[in-house]
Order: sequence, then structure tokens, then C-alpha cells
Amino acid sequence: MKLINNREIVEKLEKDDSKNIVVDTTVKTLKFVIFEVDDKTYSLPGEIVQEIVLDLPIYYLPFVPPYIRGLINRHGQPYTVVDIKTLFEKKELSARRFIIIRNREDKISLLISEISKIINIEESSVSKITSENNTSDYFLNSIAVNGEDIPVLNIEQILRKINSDIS
Amino acid sequence: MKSSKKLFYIFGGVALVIFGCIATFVYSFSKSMVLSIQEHNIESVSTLLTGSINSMINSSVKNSLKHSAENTEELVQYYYSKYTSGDMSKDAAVGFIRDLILYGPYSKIGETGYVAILKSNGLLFIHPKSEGVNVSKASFWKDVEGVLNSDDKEGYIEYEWKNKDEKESRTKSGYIVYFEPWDMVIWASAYKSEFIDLVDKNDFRDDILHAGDPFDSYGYVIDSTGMFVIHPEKEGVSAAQNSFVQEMIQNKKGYVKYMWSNGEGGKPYKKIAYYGYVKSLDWIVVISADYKKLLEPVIPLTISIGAGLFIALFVFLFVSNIIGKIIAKKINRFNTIFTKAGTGDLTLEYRATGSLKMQDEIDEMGAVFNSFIGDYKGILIKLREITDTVVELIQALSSSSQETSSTANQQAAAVKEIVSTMEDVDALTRSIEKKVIEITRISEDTQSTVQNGFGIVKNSMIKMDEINIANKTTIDGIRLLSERIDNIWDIVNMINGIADQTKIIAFNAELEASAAGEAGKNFQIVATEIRRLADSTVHSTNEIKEKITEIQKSSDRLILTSEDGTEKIKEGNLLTENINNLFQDILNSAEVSTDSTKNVSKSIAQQVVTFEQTLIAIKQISGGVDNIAVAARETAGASDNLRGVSESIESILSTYTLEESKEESNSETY
Repeated sequence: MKLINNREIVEKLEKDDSKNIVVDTTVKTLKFVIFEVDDKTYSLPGEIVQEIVLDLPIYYLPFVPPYIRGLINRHGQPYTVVDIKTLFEKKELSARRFIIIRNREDKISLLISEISKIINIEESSVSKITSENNTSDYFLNSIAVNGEDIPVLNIEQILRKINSDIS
Repeated sequence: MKSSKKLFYIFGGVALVIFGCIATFVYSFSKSMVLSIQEHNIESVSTLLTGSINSMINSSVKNSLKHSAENTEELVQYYYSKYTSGDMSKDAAVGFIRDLILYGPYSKIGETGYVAILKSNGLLFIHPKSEGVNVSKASFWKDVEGVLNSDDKEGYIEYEWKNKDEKESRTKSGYIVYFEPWDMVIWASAYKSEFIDLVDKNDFRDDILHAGDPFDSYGYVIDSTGMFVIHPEKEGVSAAQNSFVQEMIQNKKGYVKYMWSNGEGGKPYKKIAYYGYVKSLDWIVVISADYKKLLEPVIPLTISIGAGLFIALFVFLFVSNIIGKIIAKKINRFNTIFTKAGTGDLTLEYRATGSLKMQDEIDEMGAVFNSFIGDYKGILIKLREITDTVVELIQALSSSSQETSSTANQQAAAVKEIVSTMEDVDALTRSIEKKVIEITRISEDTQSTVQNGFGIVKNSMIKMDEINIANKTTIDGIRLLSERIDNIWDIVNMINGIADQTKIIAFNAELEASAAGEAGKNFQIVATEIRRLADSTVHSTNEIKEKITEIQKSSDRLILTSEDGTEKIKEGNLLTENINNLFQDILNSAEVSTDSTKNVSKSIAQQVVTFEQTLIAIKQISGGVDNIAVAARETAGASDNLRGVSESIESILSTYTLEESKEESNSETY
């Protein structure tokens, strides 16, 4: 089999008129990771997502709120697994994919159904959340992708919730 | 010999033997009883006599010693009165007594007897030989103490005593009187044998000699030398030479039987003697008796028994004679009846005499005989009736035989006509036989045609089986293909999983690249492309999955169609099998048809043969009918002969008189 190195691919792509990769230094873009939890779609800022893993065993923790499903072992480090479906809808999510949150003292991960895509959008596409309800604290704002508003999760608020519930 | 005489002799003989045995037993028993009583009497008299002699001697000895003792007591009494009156001292008085006893006139009794005085403690106070000795340890002292303890303190004792220089002990007698004031036991004693001279044998003489009177005999006495001491005739003569006397001397007491004869040439006869011993006198007292005389009481008894037996025998024989005559009379009656029955007269009957209770076994036998004769008469009457019937039947047989003869002649003519008809039928049957052979040939042709058709159907069935197998192989192939597609499904799933992971890795790479900022820009592009490739892979595999699903559905439909085809093949198979069975049935029918025509052909051939045989048989029958005519004539002749035999039987039966004539009816019963 003929091996294809990155350079060749880049060259090939440069020749091709691809619409998806537009490097425009004049317009400020932000990177978001878009994912699905059952039938809901959420997003996270790209810089706080360390990686996506799948099929790790969850170690159950006693005496914790139900939305904390337990721990996973990632390269010898324990990560708390937060089920946002339980947190928002009081229903457990049946899935084995995790988004590892980057470089925090409190090492946490989110349980998700499927990773959709990683997109770069213009800052103008980021808007404030207008509606007020009991879960609105957990969202920073929303992004518009293909005419659909996708909420951006507020990890800090989730962490505060965990700290207040556990303490 | 007549039965009454036989009975008389038999009963007489048996009675004689029985009565003889009874008489012998009674005589023997009575004799032994009388003898036993007589012997007992002699023994009693002998014992009584011996006892009375002994008691007389004892009485004499006791009186003599008592006299001596009482004299001495009077002497002691006298000196005691002298002492009490103060005429003399006690020592002087006792001294006088001692002198008088030891040396005085009363001191000696017989040859060796003496008087002595003892103290009550056994000390010999005054004694001719052993004064000062204490005899309380001697064996006789207990008897002395018995006397001293009695009420009158006086009495007689006897004891055995042996002096030191003597070999045997002898009976010693003593009389004791106790004088209490001076504690003196006055003792007069002597050996008993020394008193023989004191006894007068004439006191016993008459008693002894007459002791045998009840037995017509006498008593006598001998001493231990065998000398007759008392005897009616031979006193002083020795009888020691006789063995029975020696036996008496030796035994002293008992009885002896012996033979005795009086004087020279006297006839010896048996005697018995009972004897007893009087020790003190050395006498053997004997009472003898003639043995024959002892049995005299038996003689009248013997005469009585003999007379009684004779009378009983006479009465028994008389009675048995009468009974024998009664039995003989009944037997004679039977004899008469049997004699008459032997001549053919069966009209007599046995009639029992006397009341019903007096009838015996012979009368019962008479009743049975009457019953038997009655039955026999019945049989003879029945036989006579049968003979009459047989005669009638024979006559009928004779006439029917003649009729048979004429009928047989007619039948012979008819059979000849049948023979000619049968010959016509035979020709017709042969024509049918030819037609049937033709049908058989056509039937065989049909069978071979059906067999060919049957072979073609069988080939068709084999081909159908091959199609069925091929169809099954196709279905199995499709199923195998379905399984393989399942495997492909697994591989596609695996590819899908890999693409999924690749996508995740591409995401991670993209995130890493973006974290690296400007430096990771190019890497980010690569990562995005890989993610897109992975997406494309997932998309492709999903398309493959759809295709596989479609193939699986097609495969399932194919299997269903093939199975439907299998069902159709099965139906075709069944149809062919039915055609096969149909052909089999046609073949069987063709075979049966061929066989049947063959059998018909064979049957007709057999029928032809049978007709020929039948023809021959009918011809033989024709001959047979002729023979029957001849036989019928012979039967008529035989019937005539049978009639002659029947008449003979009738004449035999007529010799029996089965019914009484009116004149004889009252007198012919016995």
C-alpha cells in the first residue's frame, strides 16, 4: 500500500478548491465542538475540550448526586463523569463516549451520545441566550450553525453546581 | 352236613373252650388264694406261739428277780428302822446289810446271779466283786435311770453283757428297787439263760402240740442240735440228719417245704413247716402241716365250678340249636324258591314270618330277592314284546326287499339314458376348451403391453427423485450463502467500528492541532480530512449494509421459492406414484386375467377328463343297480331266515311262567 504523508494531502488540498477550509486572517473566528446528548445538540468552546474518548468503563461512586455517574481512568488520571441529561432532564443517558475537559484542577468529563463536528464560526454568530429558565445558568450563550441555535455549555457553572452539591 | 348241625358243633366247640379257660382260671386263682390264707394262718400261729413262750419266760425271770430284790429291800428296811429307833448306828446297820448281802442266804441267784446295792450316781456301794466302781458310764445305766425316774422307782431291765473272759455277750436281766432314805438302789441281776431250769416245759407242751389242730397237724420243738425237745412221738430223738431240720437250725425263723414219709415204705408227701426261735431257751418252735390238707377247702369249690360250667354249656348248646333251626328253616325256603325259578317258574315270592322288629338279615335278603325277581320278570315281558315287534319288522323288511328289487330294475334303464346324454355334453365341452385357449393368448399380449408402460412410469419416477435431490442441494447452497452473508455483515460492522474510532481520533487530532495554535494549522487540515474520510467510510459501510440486507432478503425469498418448488416436486412425485400404482393395478389385473383364463382352460380340460370319468362311473352305477336288484332278492331270503330265529326266541320265552294262574295265586308264596 502506498503511504500518503501529510504534505501530499496538503498539496492536494491546496490544488482543490475546498469550501470548508478557508483561512482568512482578517475575520476573527472561534472554534466550537458540537455534540449530541440523545436528541439534544450542545456545544463547547474548542479550547476547553482536551479530547474525545470512547468505550471506557465507568467506576461507580457512592454518596454523590445522580448526575455524577462515576469515574473514568484516562492515562492514570481519574475524571469525574457528568451526565448532563440527568442534570437537565433527570433521565440517565445510555452511552459510552466522553468529552475530556482540558487542564483543570477539577478533572471532569461529559457523557455524550455522539460527537457531531468541530466548527470555526465568526464571533458575530455567537449570541446571548435570551430565554430565562432554571437551566439557563448552565449556558454561556448560543451559536448559530446552518440556521440552528446551539447552546454553549458553561462548564464553570456545572463545576459550581457539583461543588455546592458535594459540600 | 346241615347248617343247623354245623352251627351246633361250632358254637358247642367254642363254648367248651371258653368255659374251660374260665374254669381253669377260677380254680387256679381260688387255689392260690386258699393256700396263701392257710400259710398265713400257720405262720401266725407259729409267731404267736413263739411270742407267748418268750413272754412266759420273761415273766418267770422278772418274778424271780423281783422276789430277790424285794426280800433285800425288806432287809434294808429292817435295819433302817433299827437305826431310826436308835438301836444301832447307821454304819452298824449298813455293815449288817453288807454282810447279809455279800455272804447271806439271799446273796446268790442261780449260778452267777447276785444282789448288789448302788448309789443313785452309779457308784457300786455294796457289790461282791467291784465295790467302789462307778458304772454311770455303762450302756445299761440309761435303762437304770429310766426306772429311777419312774413314779414307783422300781422296775425290770434287760441288757446285753459280756465279761472280760467271755467271747460273746449274753442277755442279762435285772430288777431294781430304790430305797430313798439312804439313797440305795437295790439291784438283783442274773444271766437270763440260767433261768431255763426254772422254766417248766410242760407248761408249754400242750399248747405246742395242739397248735397245728386247725390244719389237722401238730407243733413240735427242736433245740439247736436237732434234738426233738417236744414232739408227740419222738421226744429225745435227733432229727439232725434231715436237711430241712438243718435249714431250720441255720435260719432260726421262716418256713420250709419238704417231702416226708411216715416210716419205712410210706408214700412220701409234701409238707410245709413254719418255725420261730426262742433264744432264751434255745428252742426252735415248729408247726408243720400236710400240704394236701391245706388245699381241702378248694375241693367243694372245684365241684361247684364244674357243675356250673356243665349246666351253662348245656343251656348254651340248647339255645344255639334252636337258633340254628330257625335260620335253616329260612334257608330251606330260599332253596325251594330257587329250585322252582330254575325250572322257569318265577311266580314264587319269599315272605318273612313274624313281626317287623323280629326280621333279620335273611328276611331283608328275601325282600331284595323279591325285588330282583320282579325286575327280571319285567325284563322278560319286555323281551317278549320286543321279539313280537322284531317279527313284524322282518315281515315288513321282506316285502320291502321285493319292492327294492323291482325299483332297481327301473333305475338301471334310467341310468343308461343318462349315459347317452352325458356323451353329448362331453362333445360340447371340448369345443368350449378351444375357445378358452384363444382368450388366454390375447390376455398374455395385454399383460406384456402393460408391463412396458409400467417401465416408462418407473423411469419417470427416478427422474423426479433426481430433480428433488437437485432442488434440495440448491436450497442448501442458498442457506450456506445466507450464512456467508452474515459473516460479511460482521466484517462490515467491524469496519464501521474502526471508521467510528478513526473519526474520534480525527476529532482528537483536530482538537490537539487547534490547541497547538498556528503551528498545528496544517495538521488540523489533515485531521479534518481524515475525519471526513472516516465519515465517508461509515457512509460506504452503511450502503454495504443496505446491499447486504437486500441480498439477504433476496436469499430468503429464493429459499421460500425453492421450498415451494420442493412442494410442487413432491406433488409431482405423488402423482407419478399414483400413476405407478395405477399401472401396478392394471398389471395385476392383466396377470389375474391371464391366470384366470389359464385356470379356466385348465378347469375345462379337467372337466373333460371328469366327464369321461363320470361317464365311466355312471356305467359302473348301471352295473351296481343291477347288483342291487340281485341283493334285494337275497335280502328277502334273509328276512325269512330271521323270522325263523325270532320264532325260536319266542318259544324260549314261553317256557317262563311270568304271571300266576288264578287258582294258584294264594298258595305260591314262601
